[in-house]
Amino acid sequence: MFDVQGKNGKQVVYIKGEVNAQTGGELKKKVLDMFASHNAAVLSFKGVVYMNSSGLREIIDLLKNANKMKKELGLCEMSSDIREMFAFTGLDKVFKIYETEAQALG
Amino acid sequence: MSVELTRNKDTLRVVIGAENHVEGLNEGLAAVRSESGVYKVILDLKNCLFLQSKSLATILAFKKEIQKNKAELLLVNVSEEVHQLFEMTNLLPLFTISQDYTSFTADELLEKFFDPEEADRVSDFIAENYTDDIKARLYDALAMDDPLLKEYAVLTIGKAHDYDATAKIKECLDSDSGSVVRAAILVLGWFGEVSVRDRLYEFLKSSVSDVAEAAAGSIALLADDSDADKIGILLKSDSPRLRIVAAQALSLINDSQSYSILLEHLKKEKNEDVRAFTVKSLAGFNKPGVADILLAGFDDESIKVREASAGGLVRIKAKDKVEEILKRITDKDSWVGYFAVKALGEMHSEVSAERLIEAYAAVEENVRLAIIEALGKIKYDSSPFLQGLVKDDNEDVRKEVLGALMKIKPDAAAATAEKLVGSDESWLVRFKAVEILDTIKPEGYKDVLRSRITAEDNKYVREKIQNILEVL
Repeated sequence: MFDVQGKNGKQVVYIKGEVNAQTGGELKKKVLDMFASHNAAVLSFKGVVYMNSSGLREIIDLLKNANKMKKELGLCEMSSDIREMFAFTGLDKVFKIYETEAQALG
Repeated sequence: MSVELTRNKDTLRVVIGAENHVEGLNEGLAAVRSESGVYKVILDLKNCLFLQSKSLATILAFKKEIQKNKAELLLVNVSEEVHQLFEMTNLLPLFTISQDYTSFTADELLEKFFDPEEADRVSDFIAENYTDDIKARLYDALAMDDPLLKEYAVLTIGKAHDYDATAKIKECLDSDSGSVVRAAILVLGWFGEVSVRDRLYEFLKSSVSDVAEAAAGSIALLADDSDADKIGILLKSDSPRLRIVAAQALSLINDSQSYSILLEHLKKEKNEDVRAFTVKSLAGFNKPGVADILLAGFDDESIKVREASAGGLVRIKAKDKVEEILKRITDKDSWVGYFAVKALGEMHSEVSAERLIEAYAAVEENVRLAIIEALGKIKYDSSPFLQGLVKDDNEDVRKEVLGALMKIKPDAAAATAEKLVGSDESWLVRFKAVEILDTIKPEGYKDVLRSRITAEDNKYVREKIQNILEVL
């Protein structure tokens, strides 16, 4: 479901396929575990075709926990359809969303 | 006070006061000289609405001093006037300038909510640097009457995940201001506050800009098994805008009931915009029949629906449907062919490249242009075919060929551009050729452009060449 690569001091998590309650929950757990030893993660949505509100809720919860832990979480490489879901719920103002992975890696 | 100095590890922040800038800068400079172990100096000019030339000289001295220590100088919160001064004196390239709200008080930060250019940035900054002091000020703002202040206070509290404020945010649903209500609806959605979900339905009927959209978005975020049916009722609204909002919400809820409702609605919807949006929403479901629904969309009378269907096929990467999409290229309705080719191009299907080339002669002009564009996106060496089109009568074809070659075989694009820049009768093609030469920069391209400049009779192409050669 997820490939992870360390780049520029950040962990890039490549999400694939569908983000729903189950995969979103697994993603959240994986990234929170990762935060035990890393300070920043970037979620790449390049491979995401489908997402629903349950998956989105898990990603909101991940951000809430990341902020509590003072960790950095960025999102990137979204298709216009996935980006629209974030905009529809106003979450495009809450998450740091970058067009490209390079921009997210700063 | 003419200067305020703060040291944090190896960073020294120098905030210049509102008066006596030169004095403040000199004091800051003295501190830079006396402090050891400083590797970054942040010179904060938030209080300097203008600067005299003497001050500029001192800032240059700062730069020199800091360079001596191999440290970094960052200018922050530079006013527009001061920025212009740097620009006029050609000093701009010497400095790194950025926005930094660290030295602002809570009141100063909240004041920036009234500046449309800065409000979002300030809100993000506050959310990332949320303190008890700022929290108290934001709560005060929630009790005030100013709708703009209140709206940004709500959004900022939401971004900061301050769940302590949930009750206060709920009260904002009763505000007279649509923007405050909208902000409260969104934040309660982000907070997962299911207790307000039923109440949010009343806002779906709102005529205030974006309130219904926000309500639908938050209901979708908070949805349980019963919400698809309730949102589905909105598809019966007379307002196409609300029907689109409903389709968006159902796509986000994304359960089987939402899918069935959208599928049924597609059969009945008369408005092409809503129908196109329904098709787009259906493409967001991971269901076996979706690809066939999208293929059927190619037969819709509306171009918007056909476009949405092509986009949907790209989204779901319907590679098992390539053969069926290919069959539509030569459809008697050239727009069906056009969108079929568009979909194949976006799917980067190598299988389709040869078939697109085969079909080229038999299709109309709009489909031909789409084929050339698609070949530029498919990893297949179609350069021999494309180069055969550089003498086509249609200037759009020749221009599109250059663009496609550029993507799949830059060397061939450069060679073709070199020929066309001096020989093509269309200035649009010559302009494109110049652009390509400037992007690829093949050996000797400036000589090619230089030799062209006097003969070029089109002012846009000539100016483009002059810009590249910097001879303006």
